[in-house]
Amino acid sequence: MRKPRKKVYFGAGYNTVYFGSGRKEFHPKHPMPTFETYLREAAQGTLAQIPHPEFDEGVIANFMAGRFLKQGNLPGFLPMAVPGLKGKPCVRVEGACGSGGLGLAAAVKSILADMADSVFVAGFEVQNTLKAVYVADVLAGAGYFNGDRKNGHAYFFPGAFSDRAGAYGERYGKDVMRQGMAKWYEQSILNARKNPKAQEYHNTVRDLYQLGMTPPDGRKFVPHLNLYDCSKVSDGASSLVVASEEGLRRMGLDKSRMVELAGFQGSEGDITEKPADPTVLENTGRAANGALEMAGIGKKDVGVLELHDCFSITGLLALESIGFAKAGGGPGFVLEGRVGAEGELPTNPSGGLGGFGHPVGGTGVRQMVDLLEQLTGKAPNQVKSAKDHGMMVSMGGNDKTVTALVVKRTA
Amino acid sequence: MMEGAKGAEWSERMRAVAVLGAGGKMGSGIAWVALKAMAESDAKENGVPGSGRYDLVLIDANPESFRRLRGYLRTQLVKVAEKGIGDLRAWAKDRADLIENGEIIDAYVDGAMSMVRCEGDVTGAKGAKVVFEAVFEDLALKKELYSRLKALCAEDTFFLTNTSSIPISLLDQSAGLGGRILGFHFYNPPAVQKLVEMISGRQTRPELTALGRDLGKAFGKITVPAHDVAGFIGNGHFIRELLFAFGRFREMRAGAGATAGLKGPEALVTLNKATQDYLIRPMGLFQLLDYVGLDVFQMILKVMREHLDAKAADGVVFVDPTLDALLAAGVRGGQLGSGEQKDGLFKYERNRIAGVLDIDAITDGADGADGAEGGQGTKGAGIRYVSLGDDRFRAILDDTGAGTLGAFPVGHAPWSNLAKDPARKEKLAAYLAKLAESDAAGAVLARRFLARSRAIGATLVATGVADTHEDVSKVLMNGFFHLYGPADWTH
Repeated sequence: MRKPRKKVYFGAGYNTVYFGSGRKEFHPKHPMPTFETYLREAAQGTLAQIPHPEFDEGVIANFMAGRFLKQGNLPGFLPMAVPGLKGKPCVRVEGACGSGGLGLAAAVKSILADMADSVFVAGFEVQNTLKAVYVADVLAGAGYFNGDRKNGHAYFFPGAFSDRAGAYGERYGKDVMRQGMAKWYEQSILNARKNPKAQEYHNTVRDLYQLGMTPPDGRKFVPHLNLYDCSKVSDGASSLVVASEEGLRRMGLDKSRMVELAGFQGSEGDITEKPADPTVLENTGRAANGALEMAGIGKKDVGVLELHDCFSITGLLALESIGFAKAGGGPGFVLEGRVGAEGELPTNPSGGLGGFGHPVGGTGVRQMVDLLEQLTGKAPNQVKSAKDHGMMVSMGGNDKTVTALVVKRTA
Repeated sequence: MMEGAKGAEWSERMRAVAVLGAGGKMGSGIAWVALKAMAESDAKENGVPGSGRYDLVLIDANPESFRRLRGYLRTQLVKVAEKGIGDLRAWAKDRADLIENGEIIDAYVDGAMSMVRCEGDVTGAKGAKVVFEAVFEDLALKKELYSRLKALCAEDTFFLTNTSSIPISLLDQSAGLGGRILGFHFYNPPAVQKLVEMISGRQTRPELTALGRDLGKAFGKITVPAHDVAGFIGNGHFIRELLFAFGRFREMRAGAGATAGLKGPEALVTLNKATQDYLIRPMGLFQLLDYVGLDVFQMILKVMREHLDAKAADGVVFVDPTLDALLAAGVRGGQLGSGEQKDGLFKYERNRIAGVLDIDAITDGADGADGAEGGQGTKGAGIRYVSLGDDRFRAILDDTGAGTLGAFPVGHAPWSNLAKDPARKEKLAAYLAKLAESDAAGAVLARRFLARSRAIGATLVATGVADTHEDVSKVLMNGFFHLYGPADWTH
């Protein structure tokens, strides 16, 4: 496995509030911030941390602005948010919910190719323009439309991951799976309550585990997931800078406030194929292990993990597919508290997709912002790991477009 | 003619439906309930509605109402289509051109709306197999309408009237319908209320009664059989209970009883609060009167007076002097087309009580005796409201136990809480037992209403209006959202 041929850093991360139902200020019938507002806020949050904000390139990650906002040609919004990008090359990347991870990888590659020393990266999605039943239509575009949409569930992706949960429960036991999912939900919300920008920050439910144990109702929703197993409809943006050492010097950035890239790996699946084994996230496993290998570290060296848990079952499957837990051991791993903020593998201290929110094109960038904050000791819900590495896994569709990145402390 | 399974019978008949008075409050709700069932049948048979095999004619003398009516139906269709998207997808599974939720919902709504035809004249009902009639509660109007319908419609057309009080047999005979009419009394609003009172006249054909039951099921309603005595069960109870409330009002103002010597506005607020909070009902009796409308109430009273005097075994006289005076002064209540509550005995802000009528300026009940109000007591002054925030109501509205109505009995909880509580039955039984022992003025007052309600229930059963006490309870619990029936008061 190749090593990065030069040092690449991530810094100046910023997340807007991830907005949607659950936030006190959210009301479906009231006017909401526009996507321009989110982009501008994120960019200003990043720029404010950079003494000399000079970028060579811009990358914008987004999934479906064309449908949610009827807006294409998104690179044109980078110079709007970051005036210094006027006249510079900008690109939009799209890989469904894995767009953010792809955006980070695109920036990293520009640096590694010596084509740029500083790249501004933003990711966003604004979804509350539509009701959930129509949001489901738009998000279904992350699957194979011609092949699977017609016979898929009304709520297409909950349907797809419900099928995975059904197969998992069948093989490893429904009860323990449900308990693991309920625990995952509880942990996501408890973590989110410590993050003022999280969608579930205002959540006050007393018995979260009990809520997570709600039996799924296939007549009202999908057969093997309840509503608490699902991330919600969210709006928001995140941004950061990716830079070489030269780039840091030029921008006047202090390395101690950065994290350094240790390894990264993408893995793509054939979107027209059904998963060979529904209990395994094949591409998630391959990407994460590739990134660890490039970083030259083992799983035990990961001090903080940001997983793509669009559904609670996805979180459990990812833990197993990467190899943190053995096959069938995910629920037990979670129930034993090993992925809690105090556990051996603190996972999604941000709240993850279920707790922090999931504006799909923004999530991958948000995960890196959170790793950055955790490893530089600035996270609102700071974990106390002595380990130097953090990993994020960004996943698009039903485990089709996956990017994993491993970063480490610089100080 | 009446071959095949019951289900087949109603779905066959539901292919050609007319609603008379469809522009009104009840009519538009009935139009929606029918359209919903028809669209669903069409979708089950043909993937999406709009096959051309179903026809819903909406008739109203006021064509101005059609635009609002169509808008209402479309809004309702979108709501149920979005909510029922899982079913819609299953029904449309063979439609290769309909893939996304949005496409399927649009096709469903457009297809269903294509069934709807609006007509300004009753001739539009020609060809209907089932006619729902919901015109104004006026006997002469209905008689004339049914005579025209008889001449117009096929001999096997069935008529379902939404009358809430006019005897079915009377309509049947006057138009010579030969038993092709059934009372099918929805509660307001029909889209939401689960209850349908089903009234057979003396000659109503058994197959029509059976059809009514099947329709009720198809509409997702609870049907309760009531007998053909003016007012039936729901109004038989409600009208008597409200007459009782007016009696207590006058008594209170005149200076007899435990909470005596009150001014009119205080008496209205006191009685309304006692009948809401101490009886744990969704609204107090005078607010309910505003909801129904004083004019509608008067119309029902008139019908009951004309058809019941001989049969009202409990000796109730169906006339009320205070009501007459209020109507003469122009106090109406009722709702706007938007569903917003109009001012009546109370003034409303966003459908919540904000003030109370200065009723003493309209009628002061001159000599104060029950039944003696009216002409000589009417002052004829304008309609004025006093804010409920006024100091004079503070002691009445006090919920801390220090007010004039006293503390709530142990186990009290607001209606909205108990309505959702799975253990409400036991909790209510315990509450009523405490209510029976309480000395609080509110509890004493509530007990009089409970005793009256129980007596009314007994009258309805004894005179054959209702088959059983359970049926009375079913009507009050499903049509009026009471949490317990009259017979549950045993103290």
